[in-house]
Amino acid sequence: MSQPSTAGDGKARAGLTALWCSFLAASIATLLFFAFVDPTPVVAVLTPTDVLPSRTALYSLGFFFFWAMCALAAGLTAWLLRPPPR
Amino acid sequence: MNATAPTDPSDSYYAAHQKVYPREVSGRFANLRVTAAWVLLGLFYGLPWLTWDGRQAVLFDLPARQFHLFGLTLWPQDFIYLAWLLVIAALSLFFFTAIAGRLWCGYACPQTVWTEVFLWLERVTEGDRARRIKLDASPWGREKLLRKGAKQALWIVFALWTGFTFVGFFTPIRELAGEVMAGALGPWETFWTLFYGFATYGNAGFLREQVCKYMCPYARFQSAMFDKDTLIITYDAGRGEPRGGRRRGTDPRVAGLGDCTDCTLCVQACPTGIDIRKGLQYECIACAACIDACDSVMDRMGYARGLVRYDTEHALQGRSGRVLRPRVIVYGSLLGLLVAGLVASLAMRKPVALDALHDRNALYRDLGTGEIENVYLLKIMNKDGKTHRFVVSLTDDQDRGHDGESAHRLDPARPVFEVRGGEVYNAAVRVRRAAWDDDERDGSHPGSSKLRLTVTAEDDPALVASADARFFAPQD
Repeated sequence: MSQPSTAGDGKARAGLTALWCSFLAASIATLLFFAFVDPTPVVAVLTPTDVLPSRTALYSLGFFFFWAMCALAAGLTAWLLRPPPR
Repeated sequence: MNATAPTDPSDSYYAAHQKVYPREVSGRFANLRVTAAWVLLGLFYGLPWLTWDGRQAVLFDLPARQFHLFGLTLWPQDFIYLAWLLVIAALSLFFFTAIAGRLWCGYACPQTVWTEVFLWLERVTEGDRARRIKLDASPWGREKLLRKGAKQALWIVFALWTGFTFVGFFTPIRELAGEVMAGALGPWETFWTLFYGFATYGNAGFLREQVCKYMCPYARFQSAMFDKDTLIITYDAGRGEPRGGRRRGTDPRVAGLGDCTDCTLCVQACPTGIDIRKGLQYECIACAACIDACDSVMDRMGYARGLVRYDTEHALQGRSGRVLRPRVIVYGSLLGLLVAGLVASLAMRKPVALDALHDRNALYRDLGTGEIENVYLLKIMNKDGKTHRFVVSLTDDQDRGHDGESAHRLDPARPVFEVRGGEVYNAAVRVRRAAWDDDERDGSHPGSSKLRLTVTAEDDPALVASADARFFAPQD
């Protein structure tokens, strides 16, 4: 593990940093969002089904949604910050 | 040797990572660190199993949307307390950093604490620093396979247990344990157990000091809280230099040497792989392993301890240090105010709340006896730890009937509902009033009136909450 020293290292680390920072931001977003919004009634209104998914499932999906969005922003930022091709 | 030049990473911002083999140390600060690890890990692994008032003492019950902290039950409406608590935690971090540097990093950070455990497991299976280096350099064989395999097995078991405990803070841990035993753990519980277990394994087993160096935001901004009176771990260059090896018993002054024997034990002990003698570096997590390492050498050489020690920059320059500085006073008083405010507002927090919703199906019902009936759905939230019986009463100050009596009345007159601690109880109450007389003045009537519903605990009149509601009547 973690002995790569090739040129790919910087790229990999930028990607991992983006993932990590978006993880932190997504955690805070999840905390704030679900502190104020109970997802169960919302889902019940949006998709009328017989069996509602559990709150744990909805929280988890919400977290991954936030993580994906934050990762998109962070990843794009990291990508655009690369030195332009010479 | 290979003739081709190695890939030069110098055009990259990132230095190649070199594995750090921290040398085990013993001494005052190592004892303190191990004690802190025992206490903190004991809390982490033990707390979820503690029972209080018949339920898990500390449970952030996300599925039920309520937090239990011993006798206290917090609801989403109490989110402010959580936010407040986080602000207090951040300010404490600032406060202690200003006074004594990175105490958090050295003794209390989960990264440090779990790395400590993983290092210990590594030591148990692979031996001390020299053996570990040798083992890594040796070709794969039976012994290497056995030792590495044993280490991995211990790491994985410990990481899974950690992940399970973590989930146990959010879902009742005894039920969770039952589900694990029965092999019926829910998909998301399984996922988060594995997720957190993997995070523990990766962070404490492999990434270690890299988390502090590359991932931790606090490590980057903590220096903003520092000043020249902050306690840091520091090498007394004035006393140590010029460094150099010498035989025991040699008078360093005669040999033209300082007290540093250049044994490099401080470097070997460092979990982040830095040389403290080069001065304060942002990689230093202030774990004080180098102090213990150096003290042991000073003891052996018969020199005074403290060549590497906790000290302030001012003291090193021979100036007197101050503990009370403006920044310490500001952080300290803010912290004091916030803590006092939190305690006061928790103490004054009303443990009962009431919502009154008008029945959605029918606005009113004409009873045919000259009376109109409205139905209200009460949500009685008992945030107290205990069960209470709540009596519903009604007031309508602005609306008097012909005889000066309250125009509205409850039916039955004194509804009582028993609500368990930490429960939201849905109750329906009926309210009646006489139909408005159409002959009043211009022959019309307002069609609705205001009233106020109140719940009071039978055993504690201080447990009281009210909600306003509107009474509707036919408009003709």
